[in-house]
Amino acid sequence: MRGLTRRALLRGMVATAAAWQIPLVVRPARAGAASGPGANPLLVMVFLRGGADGLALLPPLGDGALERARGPLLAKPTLELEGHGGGFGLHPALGPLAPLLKDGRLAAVHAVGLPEAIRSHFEAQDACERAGAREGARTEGWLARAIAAAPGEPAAFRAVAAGTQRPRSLAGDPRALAFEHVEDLVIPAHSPAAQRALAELHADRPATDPGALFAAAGREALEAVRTLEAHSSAALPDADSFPRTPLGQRLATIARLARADLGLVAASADAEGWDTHVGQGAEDGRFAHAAQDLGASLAALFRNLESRAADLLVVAVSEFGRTVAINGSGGTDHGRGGAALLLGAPVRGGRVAGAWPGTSPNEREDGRDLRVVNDVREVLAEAARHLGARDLSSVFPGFSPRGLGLLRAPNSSLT
Amino acid sequence: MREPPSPQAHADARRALDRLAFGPAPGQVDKVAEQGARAWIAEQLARPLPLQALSLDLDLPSSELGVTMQEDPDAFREQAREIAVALAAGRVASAVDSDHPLYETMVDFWANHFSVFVRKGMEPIFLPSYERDVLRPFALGRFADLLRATARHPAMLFYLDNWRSAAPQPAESAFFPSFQGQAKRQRPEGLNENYARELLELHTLGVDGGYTQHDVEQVARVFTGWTIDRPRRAPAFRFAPAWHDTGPKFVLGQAIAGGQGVEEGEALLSRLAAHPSTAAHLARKLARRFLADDPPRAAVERTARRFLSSRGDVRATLHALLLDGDELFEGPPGKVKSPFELVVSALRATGVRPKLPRAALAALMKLGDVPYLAPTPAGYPDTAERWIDPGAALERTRFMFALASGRNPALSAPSDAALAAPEALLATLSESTRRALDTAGLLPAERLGLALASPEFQLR
Repeated sequence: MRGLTRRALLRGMVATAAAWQIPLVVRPARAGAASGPGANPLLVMVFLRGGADGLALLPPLGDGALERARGPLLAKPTLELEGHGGGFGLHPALGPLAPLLKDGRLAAVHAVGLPEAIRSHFEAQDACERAGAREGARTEGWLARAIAAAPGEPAAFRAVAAGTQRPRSLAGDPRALAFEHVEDLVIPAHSPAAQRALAELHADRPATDPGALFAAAGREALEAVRTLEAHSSAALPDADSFPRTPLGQRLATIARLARADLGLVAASADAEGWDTHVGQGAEDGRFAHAAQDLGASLAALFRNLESRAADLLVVAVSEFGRTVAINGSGGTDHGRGGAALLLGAPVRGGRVAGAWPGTSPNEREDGRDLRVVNDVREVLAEAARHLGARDLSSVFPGFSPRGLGLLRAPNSSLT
Repeated sequence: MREPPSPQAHADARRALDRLAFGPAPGQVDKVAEQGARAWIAEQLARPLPLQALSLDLDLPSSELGVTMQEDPDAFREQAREIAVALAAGRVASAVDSDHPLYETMVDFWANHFSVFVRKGMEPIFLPSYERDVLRPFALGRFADLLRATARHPAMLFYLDNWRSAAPQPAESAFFPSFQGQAKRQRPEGLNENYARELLELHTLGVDGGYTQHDVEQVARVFTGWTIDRPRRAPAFRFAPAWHDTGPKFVLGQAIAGGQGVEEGEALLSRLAAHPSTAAHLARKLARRFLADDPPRAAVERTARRFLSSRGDVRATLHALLLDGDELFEGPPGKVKSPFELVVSALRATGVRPKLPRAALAALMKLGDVPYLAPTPAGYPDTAERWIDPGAALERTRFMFALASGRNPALSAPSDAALAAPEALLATLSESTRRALDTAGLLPAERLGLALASPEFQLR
């Protein structure tokens, strides 16, 4: 059993006081043994928490109904994507992503969301991150399922969340680490005896022991630190030039891990500040502020991961979009269809994929919201395909993705 | 001669303190066992609020601020930061040392239920009053009073944007005035449904409580005109009749005749507070907090019934949950402590006290559980799955080793008793943990750190 072997290895390591000083070479399992561009896919999921306004992020151009409904909230876009009708603009605050768009490495899906009309943050996020699996506290998240369905062996740094808490999408992956900074990943105990005792403390327990969950998490943490220690002879690269925002720092952490060749396959980071009920603004305001952070942080991620450019796919989704019309406080309220972004070399970019429902009053859902005509699971399925997930029906139970065709070449596990 | 309390009495006392008091302080298990766990809970439930509940004997900055955002943004932000730190540290301090811990537990519960996020903007200056005048006076009172106090408080009005919600202007006369820059006191242009939705979803009925998008919009109309007077200097509730939607409304199957002004909202809050869905929602949430992530149905139903029959009396509701059944005392400790509960319980158990207000907050920051910093109106989670992952395990362990070492300059040293017998701090002792504590060559501080970092100490 792999678990036993790993535990035995851990015991052996901690049994020797000198283990800390010896640069152990523990090669984490990697997705696919092949080498060459794109052979080691890397997925970065960014969840725009709060319901990002897709119509501000990606306004349809020359749309009179939209201009009448929300005039003061429409910024003048400087970048354009092909799509239905006159195409779509990109909010000017996303300017740092211009090089990606020009290289054909940025695509979007509009009017995307959940099939059910859910306008509660919590419920909609939960539904997105379960992506069709039955409801329940112990239900696995879609990303955990996608990683399980992808080639490669479980390993300490295969999936991480940059932040203080593991997102719902990674629930059920016992190894998925959530942490803010790489520097946080050190063993707190110093003496050899305490280190031995820590391994003992986290030893496997019967499943009936309520402490089993925490003990398992502790074991995984120790293993992650060992893996990192084995790397410490070649210090982790610095991730500079990221915005000093929570999102910027989370993506910096991800970039450092990705460059350290630790076997990172999927990473998740949250972006907050999208719940723009008040003072949403156009070129300035709450929305532009969040979009600017997103654009600058993603641009920094791509700059820092030049060496992994062929591997990297970034997908940004939100739980829902917002009302077509401006509300009473210069903002927008919870709506339905939103926008999702896909970025990176694997993307067939420059365009907005999927169907488009229009924004005029009679085309809206419940008379107020952009209709959802593209299932958010279609977007997540592109991410799962990028990971090389072999059986999408296990990732999205009860749903068969038709495919948006946004990836350049289907990532095959046989490569 | 009285007989010493039985082992069962000890176990029950320990359980009561773990679930309702952020864990035992030294010697407390014996005392509660002597009294009887049920008698202790009944006494905690019956006890009048400490006087400080109303005056908040904490070193809190007042809400009357020296500077406004306009006058000096940097000074304003610094002031706001200090308020946030003082409030969070104050919450830790009162939880650690209270002689009415069940009350502190409920303050924590309601602060999370009626969550307000400190970083949105002006909330910091509203928060001392929110804690002092809303959460603390009503934490063991009537739910309807608490709900009404939150609905009228500037912190909530601001956080969920209701202060900028008004009846839509009928004419096109005021077509799209500028909203650039700071919101002025001018009349908002129409509805903002943020508060209305969270009121139904989070504060009262619950997400499955049987309301529709139409209800959300109607409720938003009812609360038009509920705004903040003098938000930057002396914030207070104000009903602005000119902003109020005077038309008739239809909420949850009932018509509301228009033109009743602020009374419409007051009546609706009373109706929501007494709604069976609210009872079910709160009962489930309370049972999840005190019993199990997936609490026994019988306990939830019993609690919901008492909530309704007592007209939302929090003490009576808790009595039904905690004392009218045996669930509290059954089974092994299966609830994972939130980081806040964990840190407070460790401080109580070891006698360690923060020397600086922010000492205990550093760990809570790392673990993502600081009072008033929950990033969503839903507050912090309350299930094991959301709190435990490898990164959290590492961070929890790190804090416990630092606390036990006595070398953290911001924390006082642990008690001799805790250092001498760390296993005594655990309600149960597994084979693995016993072996860990028996490891040859451990220093007393390391044994204490291991006990506090053990899976057993993470549970209550």
